[in-house]
Amino acid sequence: MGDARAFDHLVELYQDRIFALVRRQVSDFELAEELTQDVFVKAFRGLDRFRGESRLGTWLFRIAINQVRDYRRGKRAHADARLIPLEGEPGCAPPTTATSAAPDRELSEKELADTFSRALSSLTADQRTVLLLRHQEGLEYDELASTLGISRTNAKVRVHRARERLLALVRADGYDL
Amino acid sequence: MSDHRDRTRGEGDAELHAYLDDELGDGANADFEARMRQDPRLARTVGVLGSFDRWLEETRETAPGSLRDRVQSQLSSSSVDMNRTRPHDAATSRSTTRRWTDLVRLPVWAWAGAGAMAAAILFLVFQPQLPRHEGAAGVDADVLTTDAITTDAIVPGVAAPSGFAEATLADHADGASGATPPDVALSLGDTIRHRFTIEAQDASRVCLVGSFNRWTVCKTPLEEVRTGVWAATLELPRGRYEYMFVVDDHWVTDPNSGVRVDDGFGNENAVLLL
Repeated sequence: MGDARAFDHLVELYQDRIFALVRRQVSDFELAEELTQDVFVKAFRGLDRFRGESRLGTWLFRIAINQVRDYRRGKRAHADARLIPLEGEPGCAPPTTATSAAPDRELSEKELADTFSRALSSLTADQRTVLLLRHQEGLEYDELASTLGISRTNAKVRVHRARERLLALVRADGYDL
Repeated sequence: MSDHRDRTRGEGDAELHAYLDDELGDGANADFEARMRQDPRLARTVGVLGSFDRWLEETRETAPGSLRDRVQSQLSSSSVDMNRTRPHDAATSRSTTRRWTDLVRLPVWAWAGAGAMAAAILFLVFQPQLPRHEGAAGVDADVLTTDAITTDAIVPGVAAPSGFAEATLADHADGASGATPPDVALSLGDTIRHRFTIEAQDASRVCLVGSFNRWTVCKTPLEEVRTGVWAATLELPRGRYEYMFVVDDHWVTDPNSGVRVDDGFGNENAVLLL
């Protein structure tokens, strides 16, 4: 029972962060809840495999990333509208081109919000994941590297490239950056 | 004057990213801010990335309050011995039994016997339909023998997909134990126990992934029932399902499946009609 209480506390601690990460990949609230639930169930069942080499949070993030990836992989053929599409997938909103948008327009927060939303859904899975982990969850590069199982240098390179891709998409929306 | 985009190579403007990551020293930080004052585009770029952070924060959603309870509930239900009645089910069954007996004032044991008979009748009625469904999916012919029905282990954790009548495996495990209450016995006609098999020599792990488990890897592992032969038995509501096997992280179409559909990405999902 002590384990159950401790695990319940762990869920309480991390549920918002895991849910927020999953929710960015899924347009359906209930599906995001189901996938987050599955993350914690998997974590509970795999607690004995948690070796303490990484922080618990990064381990949970890793499970969440894998959970969404596996779900997406399984659902690719089924055009699940509840998944926010990735770059190149059906339903991915193409960014407007610089020629079709007004050049040098003012950076309105409202317009930017729409642009960010479109841009995020135009990224690859890897780009979206690293941007969210770094910019939304505020992971340090060491933590990001541990979560993704890559080197710190590689983590930095991926974040930099993802930012550049995001900026390119914002530019493509007509912003003069 | 060169703007910051001239510096963009590969991962972009290294100074920009170092500034964003707060990795510049005091002097370099001041230099970069001087650059921003000289280069409006660079300043706008930093501003946009700041707006991105704010947008992420403002649109961030928190987990629903029910999540903790749902996790606890799933952990509780999945850890129960499948041969024993879950407390919730027991209460439900007792309650149902009381209602029925109150109606006609018969003792519980009489309804238990009637339930068993109803189950037997329903099973006999539906039995002739089963091989046709099994054959359509090209699965093991021996799946639906009486022996398979009564002795196969059930893979836990697969609940009825949405849109179907609620029919969890634990409910039907009660029936296997011989303590079948009337309401559970009646549900036999709505679900079919199905055995999935695949030959996979030298595999270390084989999983079943399909529309019945929300394509979750590896929610439904197969057991190696004999060397190189893997199997799992699920009890599913009648319906149409698509599935694949995952053999050591490789997605594999069921070679025994007679009905397949193109998944649009160069592979095929097996189709199971129950």
